[in-house]
Amino acid sequence: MSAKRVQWMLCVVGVILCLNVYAQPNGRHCNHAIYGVVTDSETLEPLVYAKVFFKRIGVGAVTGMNGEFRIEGLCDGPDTLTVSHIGCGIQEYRVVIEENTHFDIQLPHSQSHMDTVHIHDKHPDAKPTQSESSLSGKDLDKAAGKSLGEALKDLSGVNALQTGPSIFKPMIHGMHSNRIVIMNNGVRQESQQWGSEHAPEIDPFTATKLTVVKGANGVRYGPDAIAGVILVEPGALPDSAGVTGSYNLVGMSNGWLGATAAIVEGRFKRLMPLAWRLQGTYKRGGNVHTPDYVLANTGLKEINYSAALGWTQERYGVEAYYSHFSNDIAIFAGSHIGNLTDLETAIASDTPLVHGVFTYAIDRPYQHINHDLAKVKAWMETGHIGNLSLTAAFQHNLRQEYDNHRSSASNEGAPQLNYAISTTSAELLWEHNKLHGWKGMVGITGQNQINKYDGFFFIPNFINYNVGPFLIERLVKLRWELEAGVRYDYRWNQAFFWQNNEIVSPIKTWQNMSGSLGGLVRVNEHLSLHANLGTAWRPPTMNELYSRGLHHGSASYEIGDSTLKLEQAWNSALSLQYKGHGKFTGELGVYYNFINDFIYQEPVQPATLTIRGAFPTFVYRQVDARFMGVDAAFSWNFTDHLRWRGKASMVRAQNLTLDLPLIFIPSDRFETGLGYEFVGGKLFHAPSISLSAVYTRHQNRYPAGVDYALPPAAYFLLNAEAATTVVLGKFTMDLSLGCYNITNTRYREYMNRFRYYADEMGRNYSLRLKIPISFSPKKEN
Amino acid sequence: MKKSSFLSLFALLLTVIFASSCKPDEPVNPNEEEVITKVTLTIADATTGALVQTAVYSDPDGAGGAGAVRFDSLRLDSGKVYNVSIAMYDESDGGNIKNITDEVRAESVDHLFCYTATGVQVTVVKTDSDGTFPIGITTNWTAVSPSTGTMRVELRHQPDGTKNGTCTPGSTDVQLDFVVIVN
Repeated sequence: MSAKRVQWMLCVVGVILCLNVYAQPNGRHCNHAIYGVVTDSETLEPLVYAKVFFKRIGVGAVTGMNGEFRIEGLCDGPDTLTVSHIGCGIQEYRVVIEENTHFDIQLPHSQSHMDTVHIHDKHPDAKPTQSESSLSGKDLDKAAGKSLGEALKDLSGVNALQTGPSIFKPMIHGMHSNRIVIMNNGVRQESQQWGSEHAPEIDPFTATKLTVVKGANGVRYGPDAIAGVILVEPGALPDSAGVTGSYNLVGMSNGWLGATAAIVEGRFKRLMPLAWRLQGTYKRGGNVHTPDYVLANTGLKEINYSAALGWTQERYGVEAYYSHFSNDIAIFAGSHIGNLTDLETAIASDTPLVHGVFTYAIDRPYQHINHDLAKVKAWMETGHIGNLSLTAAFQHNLRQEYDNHRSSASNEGAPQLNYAISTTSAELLWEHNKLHGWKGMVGITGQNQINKYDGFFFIPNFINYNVGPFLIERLVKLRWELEAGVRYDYRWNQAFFWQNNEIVSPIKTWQNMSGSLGGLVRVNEHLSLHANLGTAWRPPTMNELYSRGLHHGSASYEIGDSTLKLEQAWNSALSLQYKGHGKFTGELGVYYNFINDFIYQEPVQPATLTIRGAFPTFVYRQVDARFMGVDAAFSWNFTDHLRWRGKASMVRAQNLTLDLPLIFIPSDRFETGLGYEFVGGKLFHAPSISLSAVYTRHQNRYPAGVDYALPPAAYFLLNAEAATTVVLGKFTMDLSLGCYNITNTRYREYMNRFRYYADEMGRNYSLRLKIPISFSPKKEN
Repeated sequence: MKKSSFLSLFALLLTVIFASSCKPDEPVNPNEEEVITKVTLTIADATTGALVQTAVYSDPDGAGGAGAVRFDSLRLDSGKVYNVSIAMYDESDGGNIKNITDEVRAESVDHLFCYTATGVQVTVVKTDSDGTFPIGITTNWTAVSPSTGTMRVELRHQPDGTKNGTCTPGSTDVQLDFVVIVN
């Protein structure tokens, strides 16, 4: 740092309270700048033409196409920053300018309501230096009606492990299940996530933003975050009075799926500083069809709801959240097999052996899943330097799998597999503002888990304790940032299962360190270079240690290995990000991850011979593995109306011990699209059309002789969408009409476990409506 | 809210978590789940009705674990016709042996036995019916000529009206290759 560059600091009173230790009492500096992005706090969309204005000195700016603003020539000292936008309220922040400052502002959406509000529940921008991509606002609206895993597929570097048309498990950089942590509203999602056909039990309608942080992230989120983290974030509770909300209606032609979701939220103005939100979703779909035939038994039914309540004072606050997720997913009838011969017969047949007709009925086999989450978070300011928060959560996950097998009098109506897992977790976190130039957080998490099974044995009962303290510090300068983190985790678990007619209960303990080092350099206003090194680990899961039995979905006999060691990943990533004002934005990322003692399934001979016939047998082995790849994405606005977008993801995964490619790794995927926005009229605001093309390559990297069928051919899909906002007086409505797979192309996707049996879905028209709801605050009080 | 009370709240929470009394230490014995562990083929001379052989496959601990403890070969005489009946049992719990054949017979519209000879000259004709299609619990075997090979005995589960008299629909509940020697 040159002597000219003074230590500058921004303080937002009631938001970020900083110690003024570096304030310079004499000699005013008037060469500071403040810059950032103004977004709508609900939709997280950038706000264009928002006014950002310093009251005292009378200097300001108006945000550009991407909501960005920059005000230069500011002097040291306190001032009041006023931010306003048509249709939104006016926000005021008391700030003390001491350095060049990056300051992003979220403006609440209170209709023409001029109330001065101070935001309290905002912390220092804790964006990781890692590469991340997110879906919010209009992009998230476009995914309305899809499951979480399917919606995330739109992000570069993210794929999905699919089981039929409705089960999507997110994959980051070629890894899934226990190598990804999902944070649902700040709580680590805990369910039977080890299973490849167990999709995350989260309703995307609860979120206003879905973020995927790519790369090892074990320090903040604990073991398992080897490939990355998925953040499902609801918007902040309203901080201005009134009742607002939105109503969503989605219809799809393939499977005649219908989804409806509503959200209402509000805040009592004079009564008390209490904000609330209610949300609910209902979704129902019938049998979907490929271009040539109906897929028997592929319907689904889903009912979700959630409620949140927040009490906020100047210096402390409490927030409670409860959500319920429940669904029944029919499993494609043609995938039901009894043994290896059945599987081979099904693969040999071009079309499924079971023919379906359209119906909403859900028959065996199907999955029934319930997930309940209750969370309480309390926070308080600790003097001027930071914020202490405590989060406690309880989750209960019930998974019942109803098989197609002969029912007997004794088990009529009962599920064949039944798991119930309860998780209690707590996190104590202290985040501090700048101390000697560093911002950061220190925290500790604790977790307790109990799993019970009923029906067939596949994984044992177990009890699990985990405790992990961590520390992350970050040095933020104008041109560069540096972040380092360290964490220790201790895990104790005990399994209970039958062996030779006796209950055995082995205890295992695991402990390890996670670490991260990241940095970014801002080459100029537009271009930044990010570099990250990280290590994360995970203990073997219960199925890897103790499973012993038939896995019906895959006609395989799986044998766990209780001597497995923990798996440790060493990740490195580099990314180049360009943010042009309104014209071009792009990101190019490369990664190289080495995993020591990577746990995977390896086939062994001979096949297990049972009364049901022969089953290929898999054991869990540990090898050294390497995952490397490239993610790229860009968006280019040629004119104010025409936009070109593109995305590419490539992964190369290798079993280094055997020097063979790893199996079930997504093939290369390229996507490009053109969008045109018309000049809107009185009735139709911002009408737009877009056309996109997706090309998925044939996966030619796989170990020979392991899979039952060769990877399917490459495919090319065309999708289109038309959208507009209809304005009828005070009534507005977002309307979009889409078509997926316009050409009704016949294809199979390598990452779909049901590619052995059937083609993917054919053409699918979708209609999406979103109607904002707003009540005057006066009626509320 | 004082910092100390905040911390004690956290301590209390941790205590609650770690002193959880709900222990999952009594797992369900998986053997209580019904499985087919034994299949018998009772072979009688079609002309005299005399019992010729009871061939047994038995794997009392179910799939996996220890292998089959008994897997008999069948010995037939060339030119003769036999009445064969199949029976299945769950003997995983020695004190409670269940006859699964009765359950299959009760749900005969959803089940079909299939017999496939490989290398051995034996023809099989099903002699029972669910009203529309054969079941295959009772069959007629003709030993055509001296030969050795296997007879694949399959129980196909064909629910939801998929049963059409052929072996194609459904999934496999039993699949055993009995060695058959025709003298």
